Amino acid sequence: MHLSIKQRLVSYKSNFLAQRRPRKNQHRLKQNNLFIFPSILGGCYLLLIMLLWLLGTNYDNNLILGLCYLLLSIMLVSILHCYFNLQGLQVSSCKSSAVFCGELAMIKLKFERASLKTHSSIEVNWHSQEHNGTVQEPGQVQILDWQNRSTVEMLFPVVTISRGIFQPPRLTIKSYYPLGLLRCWCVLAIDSPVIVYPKPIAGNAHQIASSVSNSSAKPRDTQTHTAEREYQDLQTYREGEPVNQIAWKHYARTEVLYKKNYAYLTGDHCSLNWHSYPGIASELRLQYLCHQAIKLSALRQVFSLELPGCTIAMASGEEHYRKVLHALALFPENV
Amino acid sequence: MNNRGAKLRPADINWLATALLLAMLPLLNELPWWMLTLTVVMYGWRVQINRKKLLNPHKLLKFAVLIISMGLLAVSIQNIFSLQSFVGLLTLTASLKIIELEQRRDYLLLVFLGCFVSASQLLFDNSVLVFGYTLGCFFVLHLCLLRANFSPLVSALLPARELRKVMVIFLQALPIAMVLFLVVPRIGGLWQVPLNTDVAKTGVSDSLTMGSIGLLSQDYSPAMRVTFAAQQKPSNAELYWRGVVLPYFDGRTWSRQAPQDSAQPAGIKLLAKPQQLQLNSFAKQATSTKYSYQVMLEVTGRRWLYVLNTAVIAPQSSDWSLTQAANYSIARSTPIVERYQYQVDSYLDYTDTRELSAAQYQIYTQLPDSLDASGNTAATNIKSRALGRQLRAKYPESQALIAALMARFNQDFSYTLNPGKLESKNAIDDFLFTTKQGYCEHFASSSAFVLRAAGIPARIAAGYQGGQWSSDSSYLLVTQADAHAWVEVWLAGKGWVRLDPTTAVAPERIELGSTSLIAALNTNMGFVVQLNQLSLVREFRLSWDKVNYQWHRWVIGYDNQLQFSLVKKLLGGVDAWRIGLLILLVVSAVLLPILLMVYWPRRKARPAPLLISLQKLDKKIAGLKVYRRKGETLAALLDRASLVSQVNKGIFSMLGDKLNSALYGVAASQLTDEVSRTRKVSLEIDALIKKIKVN
Amino acid sequence: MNNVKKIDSTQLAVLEQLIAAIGQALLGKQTQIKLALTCILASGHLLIEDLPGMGKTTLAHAIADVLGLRYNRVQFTSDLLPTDLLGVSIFNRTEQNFEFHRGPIFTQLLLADEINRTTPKTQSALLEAMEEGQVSIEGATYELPSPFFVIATQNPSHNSGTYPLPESQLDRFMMRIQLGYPSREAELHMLRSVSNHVGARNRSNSSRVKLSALVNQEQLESLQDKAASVVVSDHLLDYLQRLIQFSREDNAFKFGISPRGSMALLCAAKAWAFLENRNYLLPEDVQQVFVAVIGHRLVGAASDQATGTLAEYILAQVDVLYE
Repeated sequence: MHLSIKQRLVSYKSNFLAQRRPRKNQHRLKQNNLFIFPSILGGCYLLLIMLLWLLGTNYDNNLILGLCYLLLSIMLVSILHCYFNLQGLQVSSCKSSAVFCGELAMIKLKFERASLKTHSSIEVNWHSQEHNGTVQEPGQVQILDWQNRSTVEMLFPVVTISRGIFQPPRLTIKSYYPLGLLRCWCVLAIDSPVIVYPKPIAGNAHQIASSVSNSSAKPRDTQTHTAEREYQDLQTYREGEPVNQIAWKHYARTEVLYKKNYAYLTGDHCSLNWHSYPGIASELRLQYLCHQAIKLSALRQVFSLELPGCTIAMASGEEHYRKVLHALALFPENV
Repeated sequence: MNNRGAKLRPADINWLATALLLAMLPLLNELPWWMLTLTVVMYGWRVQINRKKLLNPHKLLKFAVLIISMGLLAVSIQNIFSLQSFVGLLTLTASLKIIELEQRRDYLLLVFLGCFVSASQLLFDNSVLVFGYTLGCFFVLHLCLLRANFSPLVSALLPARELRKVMVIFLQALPIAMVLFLVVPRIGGLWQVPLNTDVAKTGVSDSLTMGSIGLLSQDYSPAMRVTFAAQQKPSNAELYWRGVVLPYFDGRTWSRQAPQDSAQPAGIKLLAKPQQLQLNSFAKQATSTKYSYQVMLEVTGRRWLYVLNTAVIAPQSSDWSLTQAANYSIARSTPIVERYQYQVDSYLDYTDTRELSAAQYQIYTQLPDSLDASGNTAATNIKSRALGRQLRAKYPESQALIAALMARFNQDFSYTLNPGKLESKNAIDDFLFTTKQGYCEHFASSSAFVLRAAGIPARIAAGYQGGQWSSDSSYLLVTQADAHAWVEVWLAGKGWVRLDPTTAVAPERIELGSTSLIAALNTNMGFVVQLNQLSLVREFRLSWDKVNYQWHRWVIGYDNQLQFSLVKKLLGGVDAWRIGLLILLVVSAVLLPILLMVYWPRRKARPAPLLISLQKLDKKIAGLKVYRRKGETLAALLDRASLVSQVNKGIFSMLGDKLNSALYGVAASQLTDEVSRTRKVSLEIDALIKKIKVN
Repeated sequence: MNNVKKIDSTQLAVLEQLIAAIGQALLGKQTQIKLALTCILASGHLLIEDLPGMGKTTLAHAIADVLGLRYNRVQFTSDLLPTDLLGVSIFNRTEQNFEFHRGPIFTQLLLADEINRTTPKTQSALLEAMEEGQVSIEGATYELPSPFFVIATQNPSHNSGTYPLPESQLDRFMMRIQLGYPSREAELHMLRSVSNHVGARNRSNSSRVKLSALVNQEQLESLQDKAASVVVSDHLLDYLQRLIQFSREDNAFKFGISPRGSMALLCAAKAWAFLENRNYLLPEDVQQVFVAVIGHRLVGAASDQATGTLAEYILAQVDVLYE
């Protein structure tokens, strides 16, 4: 495998960092993870100092020499200021909500300051990372600048590539504060696992039918299922119940919110089964199943999931839905 | 650098333009005025472009402006290879760059250019005030730098916060910079650079016309400052700062060289080294008193130095450009275009037993008509010549003759600063026989004339007389108002002897110094003098001068030699490790407060005794597996604890009452600072806590 | 322990009587009654928020009765005008001048029923009077009587036909209390008493018990003075400040509590301590009144959050004893 030099470098660097800096869900910036080096502007500043020194020396002008030493001292002092601007900052990951593969995972990070320090002009973005031979672009830079609040929470979008547990790339935190002469930075591996569900893909009708019909005698399409919801009676509406069940006609007449109650006439229910898709790649099966689960859940239907080594009993509701998607996301890859 | 803030905020541009204008302002002394106008126009244009009122100038237009302004600069500054043109070019670049101020890169470039322009003003003026001003400019420029570093997304920045940050950085950097200034060795010029030579000539000139010194009588600007070694200080009457000797007289003006030589460049006939040594040996006589002193001379634009006669260039002075003439005046090979410090030794009361050569005798007794080339003997100042001859006849002894002349002055002459106009042709006659009032140069000039007429060699010496001691008497300040002229006469067996006819007329001029005398003379003359009389103003003038003097002595004049001696004095040696240690010490002195500031908040103040008791309680009940929750009051906590451990119920209820009343009760709010009481209560509470039974 | 002085017994008795008397009118709402009294003792205005029929008006009437204050009741409707509330100048033919007819607001205790049913214009007229203690109409300023309390009731804001009070105006009420459904016992007791009165012709008379005044104005003022003189220690002030500070720093809130809010909290807590028969303030007092005083002043960052739970969140997050 012939990688370009740049790719090799990036790969070497990320391996090195992976060994040296393990993932943690909380990092405090201190001297063992902060780096500091003059920026390009700092180089120019040194050049300016050189020029002033030449001017002062050649004209034997003590005042210009004095200014030149002042600038040098400012550079020295700003090393400290730059370092202490980041020092003590604490980054921790918050629980991030799950996403479907290909969507942007919003990684929520919490920044806490140490004591009452002010941290200014801190740039945070994802470090460019090598992933399966491709170098990922670093994400959008976000600026952190706060004085009064003790914590700041920020969302960092990152593209998810594959199903399963996703770990965000390393995070770069850097700052040129106060004068831009120096760059203080650190690269952190944040432990912020995001569950990535399979990308939902609609399978063709036949396969769906076969999957749904597994436990019932007559094959039943999900579409026909909805039609057979039967209007049963009215109940007073309570807050928190789905709005789409409100009987608006009755509301118009009586100004009281009623809820339409449906009874599911069908005695049977759907089962999503791994084995309903014979001869199809395992990833694709998961994607079909995922699509099915979304669809059934939207219809508030009762369904179960059967995967090799994992069975989820019949149920409905949000929690069940999450459980199913979770199982699909964490299904082992090589089965 | 990368992707940060490519666009600039309007406020940034305003700040930067302010900083640049501030940096350019003092340079207007040296540069043509239109450069400021150009800067303002460019800035205005930029602002209009940002407001979308004007378009970016076309490339050609920009080029044309560049060429035209370069041409104008070349015309305004005659010498293209001078310092002015270099600074002018720099300033021009900065002001033209403003129009292109679009990106962060341009902005930063301008900040750096501004630093350079601001620093270059120190090439022209190096007073304390200008240096302070430059520091101010650097401050604003660094403020710009700080602003540039903030992302434009963060628009709501508090100027106070930025100001504070830059201020803190400057205050921390200053001590380090000072040490660097003190210890980093100077290398000296690496290559030849054009110096700033256009300096106006001030102070005493190389010719003396009646009335010329009077012009200086109210100029209180410093002429020189003198620090005497050890505690020896000559009396006021001995402080004759001799600068230039004027042997030639053309009837109106005393000058340094003969009128027929005026085509040649002015110059003192300088002596070679062996002759100088011989001269020095005359001066160094056992009888004479030696004074060592250091003079800081203000810019004069001339070459001669002012010293007490008879001076010898101090052997420790490293400046080889100083040379001495036969008449003991000292000169430098180049004009004094910046403040100059020199070290000399003076031997007062010397006698020269040599003979005056015939040629010299001829020069020093020369009177105008005797040199008239056309043979026209229409002599001027006939009465004065007659007076000379008359005195000679009466007193064959030179000293008696001089005494008679002085007595004459003392009798009917008066000292004034407003002598009125004298007849131009026979000025000396007019003064001696008609007006009979004048000041030093009138007396000196006429005395020398009469003495020459009497056949005694005489010449005029010009310089300063007296001076004011600084408030702590550490140095002597000589101002232009102290300018003075006197006569030197040749007495056989004694050599050149100083004769100050002004002492005969107004001895207080010499004893009190010019300032008080002039004040006495002009009580109702002018505002300046009256102001000068006010002691407060005078005090201020003196203390301000002291600041300036120390500034020039220690900062501007700080050189390798001074550095060496100072470091040696401070550290006891100039080894590398000592200097390293000093730098380390100062850096840590700056660092330590910062580190303390950073780490201090973590260490909390020692909590009050009651709070310590509470922490003990927390630990104790943790043994019962009861943990205090946030937002839980003491009573609630203890109730919960009682449920867990019935045994301790009684203790808990007592503790609850005690703690509540100690923390919140009436006594707690009234006697919060009564340490002994709270301590007593906390002891009781601690005892109770100990009683809690934990299994 | 003995340095804790007790409040003198007559005043204590009066306070107990007050609570008991109001408790007769509104059964099983001991806490709310105490909070309402606290608010009056701290000289603050009270906002009672709940669904219709929960006894808001009953509570307000009962308080007015037992305190022996002159009171007026104004039902706020959508067509109520500021002049209906404040008064109006009418031309007097005989005297040939304008005569100011004082509106119902000129009373010691104003019951503003369903305040959020009226337009913001009228609301603000009332709230201005509450803040200034005076009414300005057509250039003339009329002092309101002293003491002047407003007890306002409102329906939950999401009810239809309401104009919710803006935060700035809510801030002027020292407390907002919610009554909630009565307990089982209280409801049974109430129903029993109603069924006993079934024979009476006029139902409204039966439900509206007229209470006799237990204190006069002087006594009320002295009670208020006593409540204000409750001692507060530095430890407690520190706790109180940390509570307020938390609301300003935590991300859960759109904005923090104003200084007016923190002062109201202190005054209310002192009055509560006084009602609890204590002459010094404990953190418990602050916690008891906290939700009522602070709840309506908080706006969550996530807008749909109930404000009461936000206040409880602060209480749970801030340590009582130390930072």
